[in-house]
Amino acid sequence: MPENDFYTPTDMDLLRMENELLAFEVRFLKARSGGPSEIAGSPISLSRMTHLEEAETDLKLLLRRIKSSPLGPVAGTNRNFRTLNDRYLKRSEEALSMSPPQRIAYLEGAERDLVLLLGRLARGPLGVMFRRRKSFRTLQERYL
Amino acid sequence: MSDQLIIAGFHRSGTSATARLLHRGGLFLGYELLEALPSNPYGHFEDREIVNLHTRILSDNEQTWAVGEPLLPVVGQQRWQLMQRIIDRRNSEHRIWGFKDPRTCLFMMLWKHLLPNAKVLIVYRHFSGSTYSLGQRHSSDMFLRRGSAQVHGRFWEEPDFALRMWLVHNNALLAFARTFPEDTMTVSLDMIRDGFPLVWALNRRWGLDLEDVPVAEAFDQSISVRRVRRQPVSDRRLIGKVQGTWRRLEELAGETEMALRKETPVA
Repeated sequence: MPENDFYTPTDMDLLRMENELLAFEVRFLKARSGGPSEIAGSPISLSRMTHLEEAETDLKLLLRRIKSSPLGPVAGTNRNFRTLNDRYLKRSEEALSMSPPQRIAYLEGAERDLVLLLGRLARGPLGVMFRRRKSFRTLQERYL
Repeated sequence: MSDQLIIAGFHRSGTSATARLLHRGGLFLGYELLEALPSNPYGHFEDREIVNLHTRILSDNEQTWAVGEPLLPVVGQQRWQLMQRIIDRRNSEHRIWGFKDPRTCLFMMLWKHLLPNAKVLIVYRHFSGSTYSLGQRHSSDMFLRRGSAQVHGRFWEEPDFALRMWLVHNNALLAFARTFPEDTMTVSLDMIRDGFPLVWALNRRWGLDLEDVPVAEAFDQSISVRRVRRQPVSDRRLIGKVQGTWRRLEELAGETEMALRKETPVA
């Protein structure tokens, strides 16, 4: 083994690791005592937040599928579809840097948009075709 | 004739959720799957028989699951025979089967030797996410006095231990992907979470005929939280190595996405 594959941990390294472990301990004790979690200050519960993030993921999945399907070019001519595409696919990274209240508003918007989109797809001329797919029916059961 | 799909990825990289998704899609993952734990509340989707085999091989090589240095395992005749029995039983009883165990990263070449047609799904996650999650799991276990204090302690006694583990496992996966590019598909946890049509892509590429399942059915966002932190590091020489490995993983995932764009999924 070449000499430069060795190094000696310094007191600073040991201090850093101890600090990390302490941070985990604080987090662990907070969780056990039912204290505030990482979304402290959030007006909504963790489970609601989870549901909203799932809705956002499902919406993105649905938009991607429509976009890359034979329906994609037709969907692309629809202004509402383009808006959704722009908001949730093109600018999705922006949502990660939002403040907690902004992010909650964004996710709630995603949930509303998903409900609207599912409703429109189900009622549209291709509704029968969509409803035949298990994944679509699962989304309907979850959000409608 | 059976198809085999092995799910390989480092610990805390989303392989359990991925396995869950594929299990729901019809992939047989084992006769006795490990139970759920607080750190993995939906279960690990790891077959006890396979995990035991890997653990024994590691033990034969004086290792535990926590491997932080490159490993070239020595495998005895008995272990080869057990691997073959595992394969024969599944091949005779299942049209499509596979397994998931993070230890698999270290044994890919062994399995490929016995299963030359096996396909491998590589799942990776940013090193800061995986190492933080490992720290969280082992600190909780340590505070609850669950499992081996010695194993948990290593994460706070050996600087960069989790990061070295990440590097070793992912480098082993990259070596495999380089050797068998046609039999490998690489995806990141973020890709799947963002709606990458994984089952569809696997079916298209290898004709696996798995049933498609919505990602949200398998991915609980509160458990595999997206979080990229600055990675603490003591040995700065690791930085270039980790960045290089990360870049190569991202390139492979980029190829997966590129291949998908050439295809046309049906809504």
